[in-house]
Amino acid sequence: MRLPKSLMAFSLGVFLITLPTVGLLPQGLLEGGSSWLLALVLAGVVAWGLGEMFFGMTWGGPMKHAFAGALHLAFHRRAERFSTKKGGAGRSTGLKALNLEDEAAPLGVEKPADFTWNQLLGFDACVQCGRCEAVCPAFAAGQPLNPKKLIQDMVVGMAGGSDAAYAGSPYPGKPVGEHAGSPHGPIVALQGKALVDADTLWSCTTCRACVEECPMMIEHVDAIVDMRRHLTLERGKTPNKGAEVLDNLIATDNPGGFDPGSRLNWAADLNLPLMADLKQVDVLLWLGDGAFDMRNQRTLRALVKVLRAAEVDFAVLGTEERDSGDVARRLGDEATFQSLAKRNIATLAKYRFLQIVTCDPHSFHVLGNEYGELGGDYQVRHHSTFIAELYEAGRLAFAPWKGGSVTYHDPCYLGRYNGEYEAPRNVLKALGIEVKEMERSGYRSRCCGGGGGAPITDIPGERRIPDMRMNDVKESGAELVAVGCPQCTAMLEGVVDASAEVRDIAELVADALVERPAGDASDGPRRPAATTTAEEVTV
Amino acid sequence: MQPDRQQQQQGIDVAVLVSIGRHPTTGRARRAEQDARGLELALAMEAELPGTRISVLHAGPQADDSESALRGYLGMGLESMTLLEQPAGSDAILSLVEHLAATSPQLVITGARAERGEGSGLLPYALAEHLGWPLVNSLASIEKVENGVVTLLQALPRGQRRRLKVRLPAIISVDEAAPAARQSAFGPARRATFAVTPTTPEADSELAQWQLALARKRPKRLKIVKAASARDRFKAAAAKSEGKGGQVLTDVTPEQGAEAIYKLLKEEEVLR
Amino acid sequence: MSEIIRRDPRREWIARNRLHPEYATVLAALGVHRGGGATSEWMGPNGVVRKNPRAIGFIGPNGVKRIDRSGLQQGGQSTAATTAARDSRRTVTIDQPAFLVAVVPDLTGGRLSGHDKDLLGLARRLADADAEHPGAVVAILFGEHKEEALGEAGIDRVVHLDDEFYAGFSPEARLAALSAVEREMTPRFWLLPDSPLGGADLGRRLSLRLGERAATGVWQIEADHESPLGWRCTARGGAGSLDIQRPLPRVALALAECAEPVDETRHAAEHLTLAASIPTTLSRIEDLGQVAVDPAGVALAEAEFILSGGNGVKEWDAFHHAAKVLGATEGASRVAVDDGFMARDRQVGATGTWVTARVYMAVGISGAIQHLQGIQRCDKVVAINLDPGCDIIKRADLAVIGDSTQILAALVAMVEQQRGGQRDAA
Repeated sequence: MRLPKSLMAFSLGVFLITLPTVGLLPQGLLEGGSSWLLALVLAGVVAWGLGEMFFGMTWGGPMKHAFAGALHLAFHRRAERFSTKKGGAGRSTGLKALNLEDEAAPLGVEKPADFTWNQLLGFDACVQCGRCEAVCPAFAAGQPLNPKKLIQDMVVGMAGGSDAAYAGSPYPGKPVGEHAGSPHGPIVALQGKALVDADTLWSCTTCRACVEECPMMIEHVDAIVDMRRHLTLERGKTPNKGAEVLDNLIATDNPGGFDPGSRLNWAADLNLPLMADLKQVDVLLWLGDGAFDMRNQRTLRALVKVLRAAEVDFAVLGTEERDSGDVARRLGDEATFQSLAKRNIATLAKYRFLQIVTCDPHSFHVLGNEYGELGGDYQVRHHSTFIAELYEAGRLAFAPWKGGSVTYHDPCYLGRYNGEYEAPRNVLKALGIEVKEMERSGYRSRCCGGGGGAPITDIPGERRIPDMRMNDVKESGAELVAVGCPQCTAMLEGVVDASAEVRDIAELVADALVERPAGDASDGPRRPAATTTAEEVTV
Repeated sequence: MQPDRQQQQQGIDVAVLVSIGRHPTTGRARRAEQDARGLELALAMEAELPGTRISVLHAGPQADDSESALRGYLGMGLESMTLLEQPAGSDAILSLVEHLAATSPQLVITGARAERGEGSGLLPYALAEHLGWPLVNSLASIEKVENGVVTLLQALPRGQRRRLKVRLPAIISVDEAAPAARQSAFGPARRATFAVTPTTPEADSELAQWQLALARKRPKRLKIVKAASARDRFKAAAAKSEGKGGQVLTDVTPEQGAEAIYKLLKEEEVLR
Repeated sequence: MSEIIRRDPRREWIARNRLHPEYATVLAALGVHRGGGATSEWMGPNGVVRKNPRAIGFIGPNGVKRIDRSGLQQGGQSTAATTAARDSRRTVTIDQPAFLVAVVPDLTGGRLSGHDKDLLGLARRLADADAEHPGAVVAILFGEHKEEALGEAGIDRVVHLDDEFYAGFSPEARLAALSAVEREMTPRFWLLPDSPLGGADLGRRLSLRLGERAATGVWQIEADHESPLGWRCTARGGAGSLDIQRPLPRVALALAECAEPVDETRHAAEHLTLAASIPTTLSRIEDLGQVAVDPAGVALAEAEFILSGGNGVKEWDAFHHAAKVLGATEGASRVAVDDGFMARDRQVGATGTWVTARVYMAVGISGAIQHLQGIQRCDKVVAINLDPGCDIIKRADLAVIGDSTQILAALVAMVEQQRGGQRDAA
């Protein structure tokens, strides 16, 4: 505890020096023969205090955090985060595009020195409060990631040396002291160990819980994706199924390697209107890659039923749609992301629509927040937002809820990434459901483990993230968990012996649909949902 | 033991022949599955045997879409490849033979079949015949190289393996049994270079005369039952519709259940 | 004794009711009274089946003649009919063949495979196209064989090369032998199976040795007078994405089911020996023999028979043992992998490996939708599960409801016993 003493010495010294000038002490005190000694002592004390402040900023003393933190906040990469505006304007969550124009430039972050200067400032700003560690789903699952340690490792790497001095919790399963690095040495070793192991970087689900929690507004996810970009683009070392998924995205525009021509096969009987035929609609329904997943097809069917019931003028891109590039980008394959994004933007540019509606928060985020940098600006809405709007406009009517207690799981890419916490709850309220909130909900919601390509890279831990989330559901006592994301549905439904059923909001809405009362809404005869068939609502 | 082996095993010159692949569902150009596996074998050999030199060869035209496919190979960790330039529809065999005879590598690795064009899988055999080198097909892994003799494992159906010793120089063809190719990294792939060598091509006139069409679905063979009575024939013809919908055995002893399964396994001939 | 016919109304009633479980035995008993009837069907001198309609059927209990077409008709008649059918294979001998069609079957395990028989059927089509001047099919067999019905598969001549240097992987020696056949007999066509069991390799070597551009992946041939050899073929090319129509060359490598196997004629399968001795070549390829491979190590996507375990498997040791005995590749559901019972690369399903097995046996797997997606392309699915209501039962071709440990144990015992029996017999 040197800092309080040095600061005290500095202020006392200055105080004593200034006393004669203020006139509290006789002027002559510092002018006598012995007074020279006093003056020297005082000057020494002041110098010590000043030195502590100046050198401490750069030599790793406590002042460093104050200094670097202030600069970090002043020159933050995402200045938008300081906006006081309500809603989406005050957040900045999209990843920054990588410049792929320069062919000779190495891609991604290989060495600590490759980070931008304001990112490095951010690392120095870390005060090791440990709030990120407390919310990190990967850390809780015993996967080898601890966001606090990761930031400290970057600090160690920039200074050069080993992580032996780190006193907090290590990466689960990786003792402290085995890793060391230098500013111009690789972060992830080609062989053996360097500053950080690759599986640490691949454990992240990009849920942004750490970023949301951080008092110093450090961007952990940006740093992790920057390092992933190097591993994927320069080394070709995306682990497990990663390489296969990326190859599929390149060759078939979807991560599963399905025939792109079969993207609309699930809807063969729905007779969905195609953008190619209509050219101009109100709502473009973005299906996402869930169109290939049999579980998500049920959600999509429900959503189509709801849109038809509300008589929305909508169309789908059909086989012209491609993966939004979300997974490719989180896996660090910026080249594939940009290729997919550019082609999607070119497709979307052919048509006119007022807004895009999707039931996939990942597509929602990418289309809404990340295409802008590449020239695609769209009004994108999550289906829960859109359904809430339709309900408010009186275009939907629901039968009263008869089921059991319900809780709602906030998808990271809807909540933390896009600030949409209210609309899904409003929809559930409109259905007559009183949401039993989980302990961790809203902006503190715990990830399902499905983001950031985590199910693809599949880094083993002691527990599974979805199991922990389903446990949260169980503790809330709910019999059903409403979700709004195909990834969350898949992850939570994959939990064995779960206590609660998993339903997408669109499914709940579609089941509760009743014919809109004509004219006055007060007491029209409400028919039970079961008798309302798709044909009846299709006008 | 270990240093001994390293002294005996010395690096050799390996030529890997690569072609432009075709994705089976979308038909997009890509690195060909088998050729990439061949290159993977060579790269694994390079890591095992210091001093191994890999040269990658492709005979074909210089075009944008083929270049991006070829860069798929380069992204596996190569600095350059040799492109024997010739127009599309030329016979690759002659230019490859000429080049191989001139550069005389000790080992030539190639995919068993091309994914585009005729895809007959005759090329490795043609090279072997022209160069007079031994050829081993369906390679699974290279075990060691010693005094001009390579010991390798050949893949047999159903995952079986056979150990062979082959005198170098030799040609090795690779199919799906070889280890899967590593990921191709974008950065190195676009920084790598092509060494373009012009050739004196000869058009493949025979292929040009054939009719190529998209593959039709092959008709499923009908079970022809040479039965004595009309009833048997009818039964055989109608048997398929009967078989639809699974059979569910409930309330059976484990033995009865096992017997039903055993019967099915026998019918499907999966029990050896 | 007594002339009185004793009637048994019950038996008569059964004899009239074809669906009765005792029908066959009752009819058999009635047949004994009737005594052996005349043969109702026989092969005429011209190879045409002759029938005596009066000999068909039997006299029922009421003295009325009854004809049973259910195929259950018993007694001497039906056996006579089947032997007649068996004998109906016409014997064909071709003494002076106009040309030769050489076939080199794989002869896996010493027997003609289904693919080999299809190929011989194709060879017969080529040989018999002109009934006036038929060609002969000559089969070149390498190594020992256990096949007795060579003639019935459509082979006229056999060249059997049984020297030890043809054993194992010996492409150079085999090629030398085929070259000798070519020199002596000059067949018009060479047909080989385009199979990974050896035919694909040997056929391509042969075609280059003969300087022919072989047609590979042939699955259809048609007569075509404009082609040099009178035939045109359709072959698969471009990794199965193209159909190539071209004149049939001298060397063709055909796919399975390229033609119907021979089943109506029997051929001479006369043994030939080569006049000149085959020059022995110095081989640059030395076969060191097969290497033992663990079936569990076979890649899931390639495996033909997968035994897959899920959450319902309680005894994993027994499961692994069963996979070993059955010779199956092990797979697992996501849950089993997550719980650490199986390695991640063994996971089957949309998020794991998409499998294409001929038989997929799911033990204690309830059938999550991602799992069912991953086994879409499997031919037959067998499910062992405690819960008759779970989704895999709907997909399964055969589902056994019960305790998986016991059923697997019973299956293992059955297979082991069967294997033991075979060994004794051998």
